[in-house]
Amino acid sequence: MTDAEYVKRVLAGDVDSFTTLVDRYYDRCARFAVRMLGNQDDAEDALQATFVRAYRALNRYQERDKFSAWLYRILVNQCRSLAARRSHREKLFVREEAAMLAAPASGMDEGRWEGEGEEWVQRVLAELEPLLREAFLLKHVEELSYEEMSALTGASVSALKMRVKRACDRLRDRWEQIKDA
Amino acid sequence: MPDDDKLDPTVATIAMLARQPATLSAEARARIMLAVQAETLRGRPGRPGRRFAWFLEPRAVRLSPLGSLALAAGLVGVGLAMGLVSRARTLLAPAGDVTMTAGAPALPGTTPAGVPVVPTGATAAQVKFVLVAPQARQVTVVGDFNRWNPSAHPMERTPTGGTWTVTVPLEAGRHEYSFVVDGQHWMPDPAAPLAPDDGFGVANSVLLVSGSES
Repeated sequence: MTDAEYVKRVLAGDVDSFTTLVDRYYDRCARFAVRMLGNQDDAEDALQATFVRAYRALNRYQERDKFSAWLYRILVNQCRSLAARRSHREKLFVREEAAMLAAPASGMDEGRWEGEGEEWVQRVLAELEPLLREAFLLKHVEELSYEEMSALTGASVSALKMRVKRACDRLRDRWEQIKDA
Repeated sequence: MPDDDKLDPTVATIAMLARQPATLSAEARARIMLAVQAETLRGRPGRPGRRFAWFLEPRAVRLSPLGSLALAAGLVGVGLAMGLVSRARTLLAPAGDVTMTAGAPALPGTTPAGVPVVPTGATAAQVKFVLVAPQARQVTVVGDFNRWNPSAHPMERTPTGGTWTVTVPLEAGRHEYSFVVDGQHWMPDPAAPLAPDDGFGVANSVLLVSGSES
């Protein structure tokens, strides 16, 4: 059954169908929220707010759009709001820079890390400016097209390409720094 | 993989790591569904309306001693699922002239942990369970007082439609209870604290019936 059909069921009063939609997108949304916000608590808040807002606004969902894209638009906005409210937390990662410089060297082997890969990548991503991080995640983690990204962020394709390129450059530079340290 | 960006190996590795599933707490998904269920009480999706908004808004209630006594004999679960999110407390009042505020962090008639207390001078109290569930077709209350039997205490829909009530005589002591909606969905009372997990992965609500004046 398609997402749109489940949406119709929910709108007809079958709340359980919304559970199916949550189940379908929970993991992807959770991943984006955690990578974007950098910590579990904020990610859970963003996720809850996203699904509740989606439920409230379900009758505004247009069938011609992909439900996933519509849901992502809400999620991106929730993450932006949360990040703005709690931006001080993001600085935490930067303050841990010295620890990060030392951390990956021992477990690193041909571009792979043993054990703490998720924690390491979380820290590297946290160093990016939010808009660069968002663009990088949407493009290279969620694997959206630039057109899809443009539709859900409101930014132009060229602006998004620039953000993604800058994000990649910074990630690569950071990598060089770590290797040289 | 993405259109026109060929990733260098370093960035590709970072992207690969970032694509691994993220870990959230085990309860996160359940909390989301409870929050969504709370929305269902406000109306259908997209039409949140204000039908039940009255229950959700903090307000002060001035009670006469007689009114307090009447309320003290009543209970407990103003089962607004929104209470799950806002942690609104059950409306309970000890005898006497008292002002109560629904949704306030502390209420008379609760323990420090927020457990509802029904004061009674006798050995049993008439406890009224209330659940707002406008879309339900059938609601019952189950608890240790009826051996968790869903047939024992069916709740009645009020004439206005969305509220279900039943009055149950309860002995003094601590009671765990839950609601059963449409014969299959067990849900704790959103307006009351939860007891520890019952060992079956389900949390029940808890209330205290005080055997002496409290």
